[in-house]
Amino acid sequence: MSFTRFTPIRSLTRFLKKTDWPLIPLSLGVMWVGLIVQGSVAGGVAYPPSHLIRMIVAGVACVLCAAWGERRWRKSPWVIYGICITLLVLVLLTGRSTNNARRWIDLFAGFKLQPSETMKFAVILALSKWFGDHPRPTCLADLYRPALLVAVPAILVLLAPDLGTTLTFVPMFIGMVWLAGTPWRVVRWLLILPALLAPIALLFIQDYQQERVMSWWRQSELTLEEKADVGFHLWHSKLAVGSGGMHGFGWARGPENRLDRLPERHNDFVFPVIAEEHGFVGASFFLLLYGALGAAAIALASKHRDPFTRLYLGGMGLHFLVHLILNVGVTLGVWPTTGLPLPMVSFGGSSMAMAGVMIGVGLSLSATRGPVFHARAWED
Amino acid sequence: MRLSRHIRLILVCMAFLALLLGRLFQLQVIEYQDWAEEARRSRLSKRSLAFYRGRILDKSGLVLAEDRVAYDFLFEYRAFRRGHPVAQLLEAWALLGYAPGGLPACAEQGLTLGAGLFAKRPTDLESLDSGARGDFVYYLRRLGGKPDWAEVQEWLSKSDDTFREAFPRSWAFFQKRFSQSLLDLASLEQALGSEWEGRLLERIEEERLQLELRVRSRAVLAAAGRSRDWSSFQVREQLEWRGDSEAPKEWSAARLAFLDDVAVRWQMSPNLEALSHSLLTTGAGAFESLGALLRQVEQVQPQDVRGLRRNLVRDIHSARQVRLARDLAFDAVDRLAQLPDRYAGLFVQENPKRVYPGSVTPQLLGTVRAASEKDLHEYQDLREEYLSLARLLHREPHQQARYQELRERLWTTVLRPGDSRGRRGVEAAFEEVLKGTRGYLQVLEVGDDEDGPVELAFSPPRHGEDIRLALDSSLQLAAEQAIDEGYREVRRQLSNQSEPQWGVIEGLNHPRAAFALIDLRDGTTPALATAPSYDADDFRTRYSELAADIEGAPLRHRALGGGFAGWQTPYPGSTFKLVAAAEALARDSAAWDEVHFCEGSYQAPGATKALNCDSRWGHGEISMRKAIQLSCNVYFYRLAEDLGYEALLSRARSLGFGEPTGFEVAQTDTWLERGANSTTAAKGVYGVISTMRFAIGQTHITSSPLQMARFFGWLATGKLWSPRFVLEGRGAAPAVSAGLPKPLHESQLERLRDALKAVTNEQGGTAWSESHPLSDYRVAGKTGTAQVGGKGAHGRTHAWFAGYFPWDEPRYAVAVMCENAGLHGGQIATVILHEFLASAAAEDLVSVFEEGAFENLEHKGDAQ
Repeated sequence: MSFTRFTPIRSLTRFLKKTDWPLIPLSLGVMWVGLIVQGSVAGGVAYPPSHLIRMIVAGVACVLCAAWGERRWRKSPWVIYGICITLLVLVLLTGRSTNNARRWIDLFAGFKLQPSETMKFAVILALSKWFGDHPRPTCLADLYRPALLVAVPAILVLLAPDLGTTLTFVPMFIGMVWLAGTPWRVVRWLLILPALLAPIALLFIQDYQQERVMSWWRQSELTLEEKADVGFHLWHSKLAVGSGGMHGFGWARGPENRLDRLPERHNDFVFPVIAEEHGFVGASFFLLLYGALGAAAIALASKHRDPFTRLYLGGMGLHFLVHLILNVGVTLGVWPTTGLPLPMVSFGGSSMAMAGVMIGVGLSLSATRGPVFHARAWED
Repeated sequence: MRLSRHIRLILVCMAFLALLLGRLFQLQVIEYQDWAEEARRSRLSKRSLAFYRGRILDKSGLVLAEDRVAYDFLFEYRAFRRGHPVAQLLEAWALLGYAPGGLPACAEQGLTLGAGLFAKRPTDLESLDSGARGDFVYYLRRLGGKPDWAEVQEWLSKSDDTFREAFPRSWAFFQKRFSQSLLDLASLEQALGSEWEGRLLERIEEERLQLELRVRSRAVLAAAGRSRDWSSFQVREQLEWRGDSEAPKEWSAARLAFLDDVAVRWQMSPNLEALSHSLLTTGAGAFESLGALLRQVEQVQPQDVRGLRRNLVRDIHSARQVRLARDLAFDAVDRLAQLPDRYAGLFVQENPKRVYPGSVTPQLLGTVRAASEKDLHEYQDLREEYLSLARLLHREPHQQARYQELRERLWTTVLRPGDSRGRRGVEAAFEEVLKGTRGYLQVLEVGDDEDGPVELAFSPPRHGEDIRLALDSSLQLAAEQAIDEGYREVRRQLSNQSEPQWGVIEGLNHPRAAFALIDLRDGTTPALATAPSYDADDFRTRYSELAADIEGAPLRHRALGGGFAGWQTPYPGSTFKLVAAAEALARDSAAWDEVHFCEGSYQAPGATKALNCDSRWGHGEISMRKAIQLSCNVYFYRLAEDLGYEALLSRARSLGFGEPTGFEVAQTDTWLERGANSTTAAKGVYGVISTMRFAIGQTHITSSPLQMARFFGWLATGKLWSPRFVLEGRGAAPAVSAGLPKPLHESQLERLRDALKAVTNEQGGTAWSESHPLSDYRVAGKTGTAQVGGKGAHGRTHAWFAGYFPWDEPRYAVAVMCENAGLHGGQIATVILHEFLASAAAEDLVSVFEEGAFENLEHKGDAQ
């Protein structure tokens, strides 16, 4: 046992050599943007303390999860899934509410947990586990059990009510089904089905959500009343984005941001702040950076031969991309308005911490060669 | 090449990302201009800058009306609640669901309430939604002297301390600031004047309640609208009955059905009658019932309604500025302007005040009054149209044009709440000239309260243009004084008589008279006097009192007529006889020499009764000249019998009788001459008696003194002027000499002038007087004594004199009328004219005098 063998530096370098290291700079980059924006939202603070704390928590979570060991992660998906489902039920019964929605569980020292965020992680883990352990699905019937794995938490989240998070489960599920090697003839039904169901779902969602959809649909001709009411978020979000122009107003100088006219701007509507203050240049840079993180995760996944790792990394990349596309799309009026945080950038502590956990697990899994000769070989 | 599943998934995601980038490009680059403009506009606010109305000057440039600097005391609740500790306390407690009972109560128990607020812990705020919590922290932070934002956030998310424990210095700050603010309010009240003592906060509280009522009713309307996908405006239209009469039953039933529907939608079972009542009225109880309704709605859809409410508060509070007082005392202006920080929400605004130095003919100058209901409706309609266009992101070219036009009009010409407009008289007739254009200061909000807003655009107000009147203040004053002097003189004369007629003398105590002077060179009116008059400053304050005085009718300008009671009917009396004479001469010049026999009365063949002459014993054989000089009625009865009503009427009409005089101010202010100049159409007249009485100006004809002066101007010069009051100013037209459809030959006019001269110049003439010889001023004219059909004092005759001077080279036409004087024209009207001419001559006021045209003036001086 040589001395050097145990130096942390050395083991760290070895770990980094083995693992999918590009995820680290990319996610640090995204978090760095988040720090800048949160500082601006806080009124021009260079290092907003609360956000820094969240980032540190996320970083620690990431390191801990990376160190936890891939074998443990391979074994634990069902336990984690179970815990998260329990938390979801718990939050429905006893959670504290913000904006009339029960979404949080109080932890120690003023921290609070949003189980729907942990659930996303649990679902990715569980789906990876399921598809890794089972033969490649070849017909719709093969999918109903993994679909249940997603549907149960989705419905629980919907009861919270948190429509935005519920909606993220759908593309994530379809994407992971696709990555699991399901043939196109099956996957296409998964695409057609939600498209058919969407209009029907429109009838069942709450009235204020219906109004939001309607105001989104005719967003170019909103009345003044709607601009001050159901279309308020969208209108001000578009005002912020559009008035940013090519180069933006500059850090902490966006009027919509400074005048507190952009609701939820530290959270779900953080992207308009970026767009307003850094313009098209900054906003598209951010989009590409964030997109690169998701794409890198999916691309790196394809290099692994172990199905669990492949699926997990793919699911994680998909998770980031889906959130990016839905969240930014909402702020740009591409999709109807619904609340959804942007992981690693939004103020939400749970989503930040869970992003750290996810990346940590991803690093941990990718650092180790999984069982190469698994019952199923993964070939496209 | 077959791409791996991962790559294909990435491509799909990248496609979505590309979609987002495309959309971002569309918003930020392609539509940048639109959005930047829209965003800027949404942060813009315009401050109106007052203009000064043009002055009204008299002929020599003396100021008759002008705008003086004055300041309004304005109040804006939004700024007040953001910046004033009393309001901050109230608002913060209201967010916690506790109403401390209004601002005055808050001021009283301020320290207790403050201590309560500062004792709050973050956990106490958990029941609030994020918006309300944000607002609460906003107020708390300001009450505590704005501790660091980040530290407050830290406290909010982590701490279990009370605010006071976390920020000990804040409490000291609050105590000091709060007591200081009360002292400031007290000293402001002192500066405002005694009527404000202890009243300021109450007044502000009233305003706050008004706003709250509006917010609540709008919230309820909007909530109700959601049940049918209607806007609040549609709901209000549905609920408001706009008809004059009572609403029909079907309508009420439909309205109740609608409300029922609303109630079902909101899962409420409200008292529908009360609900509909509260929506329709803003009277007592409406506040409570709306509040109750809102609470019910909140219970059902708290998320919706709270958000709605917050937005409504934002909208309604921002738009609302109230004028608490006009023409603020200088001390208060000084205080408010010097210490804006201490008086958040209270400020002064320049708002010129119209003053009328000397209060010259307020009836003709008119006044300025605040925007009327009609103006406000116009403003609202235009504003609604403007807003409907404004909300379109892309406007068609014609929409854009209309939008810009409306924006321009709304900011410049349209009268808005608080604006004023000329009313009556010159102020109204020359509104477009006198009125200026409002300027504005465009302000862009750039940061939160710490930074001031940025001034973007400044458009200075364009002040109104001046107007110069033909009115000569000194002549006007001389005329007004002459009326008073004349009446006094006549009273003195009458009481010196052996058997004074006390009733008549008493009737002369309060002159009711008119004096009209027309400059025959250009048709202008240098003096138009009326008595009684009033002070221009009294118009606003004592209007109802002035309007109720039917007897004195100070709001009437008697020289023009204008809305009289029956006994004030301005029959012209004998001054009208000249029309009959003119008609007779026009028909046959031999009429001049025709002689009739006057035996004191005359009964025409076929007439039911005889009509009397002024002279009971008759004038004997009398020609036209003598008949004019002595004002013989019988002579003119005979003329009328020969000429017939229609001939007389058409001659009168051709000389302008029965029509407005053309006085330009009266064309806008139709009240000025209303009913004063009328004739009766021929088919409404039966019998020879009517015709005969018409010929002596006693029936079927009314005429204002101005009309009569104009007619005598025609007699003097052959020109019939449309009198003119405004000499200079945009839109002032030169006076028109009307081309006459039925002219009279100059030689015939000469004959009439000769007769008119005889009236004043020859003994026996009705205007001949030893004590007040008008012949000194070479005045030719005719007296008139018009009977009125009233009883008692109201039945007394109007005394007239109309004429022109100097008789050889006429420069001025004049008419004097003394309403219900009970005397002959030669007894009082001539005295007034004499008084006027005497003082005008003494002060060289009238231009003919300046030229020294009157030789006999010196003779007159010797005689005295």
